[in-house]
Amino acid sequence: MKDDIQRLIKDAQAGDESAFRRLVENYQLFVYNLAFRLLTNQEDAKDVVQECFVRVWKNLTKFNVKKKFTTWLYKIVINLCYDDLRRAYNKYKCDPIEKEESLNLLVEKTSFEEKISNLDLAHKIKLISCHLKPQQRMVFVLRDLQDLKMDEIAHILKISVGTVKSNLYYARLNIRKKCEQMELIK
Amino acid sequence: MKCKDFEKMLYLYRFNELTKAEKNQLDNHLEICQSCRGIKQKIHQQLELINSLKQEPYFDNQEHLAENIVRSIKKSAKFQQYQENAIDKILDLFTWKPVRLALVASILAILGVFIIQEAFILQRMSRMEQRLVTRAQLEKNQTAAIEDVSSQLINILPSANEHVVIDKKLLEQFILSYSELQKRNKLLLKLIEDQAEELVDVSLNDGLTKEEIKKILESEKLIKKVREL
Repeated sequence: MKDDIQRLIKDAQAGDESAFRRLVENYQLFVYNLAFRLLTNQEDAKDVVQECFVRVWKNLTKFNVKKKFTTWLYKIVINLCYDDLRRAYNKYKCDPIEKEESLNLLVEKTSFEEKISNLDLAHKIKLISCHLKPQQRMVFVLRDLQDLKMDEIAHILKISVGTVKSNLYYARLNIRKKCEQMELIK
Repeated sequence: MKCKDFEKMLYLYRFNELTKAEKNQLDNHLEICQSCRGIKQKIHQQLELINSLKQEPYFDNQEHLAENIVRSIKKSAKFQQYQENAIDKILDLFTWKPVRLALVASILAILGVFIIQEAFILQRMSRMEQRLVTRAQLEKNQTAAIEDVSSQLINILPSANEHVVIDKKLLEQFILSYSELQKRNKLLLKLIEDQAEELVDVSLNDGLTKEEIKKILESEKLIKKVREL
């Protein structure tokens, strides 16, 4: 599999359009999942997928085949999403009432399963992570939803492992508080 | 270690992010601390909740996405190529000899106009500078002449009962100097006025005593009298 990907990348680097198309097909879902979890919006995630592969195509000749392709994709997606995350966080800070109202909708439901099942995935992720700072949110998504290792996250975000741990702690603490507030955990 | 420190460790404990030593330390604490066990339970619930969010989101029309991406890349590449072609065409123009000559000629013409303009400006500036120097010199000379006349007048101050005859030419020079001073040197003017009030109005042929001079001065200012002359 790894060899196949390397061959696809090499062919695409040589200008093979069909190899690039296969590369996109192999990784589009991966990029979409990550973008979706970060931005919690289907259309925005699709735009990120498109923009991400355009960047891949433009810079593919510079990519070192020996390095992990997904790490490069992570970096591109994180860069593309960072501004949106910052904007979303600032919007949340300026207008928390609107968000709280949507949280109350959740509290009205009786059981835990019902509360969760009544919301789509994007809404769920948004509800528990909308109050996180952009870096905390990125660390949370990469670690808890994407299951990346600490050192990989540190490499992608260009921060130390200690900073990753610290961000992770605050992210989880804030999520716990939010979940308690919404009575998702007791 | 305090419970708060263990709480921090708990967040990493449930997710297997602690070292073996840290884990043992935390386990020992959990055995004796009920509050931390409560937090551990909550974190466990949180972990379950987060795990439920790991499901993959629905991705519609993904079969067309690769096609769209390749198409958009091609489109942008075409546009880039079109831009490059346009630039090439413009650059090609410069390989044509008449265009190159015209370009060089126009650059030289602009340069020439610029140099001539600069020369004119420099010339005008040097003339202006010369004028300023001359004027400064003239003013210096005039001031020196005025000071000279004033000192002559001061030297011939009469004593109380002495008659004094002032030369007409000297007087005219003084008048001239006085009016000139009025224009430009208030301090010197004040000095001369003070002296003049003490000293002078003059009969051209006969000397006057200081008392007589003072009487005349009382009725009219020196300068008015002088002007009548």
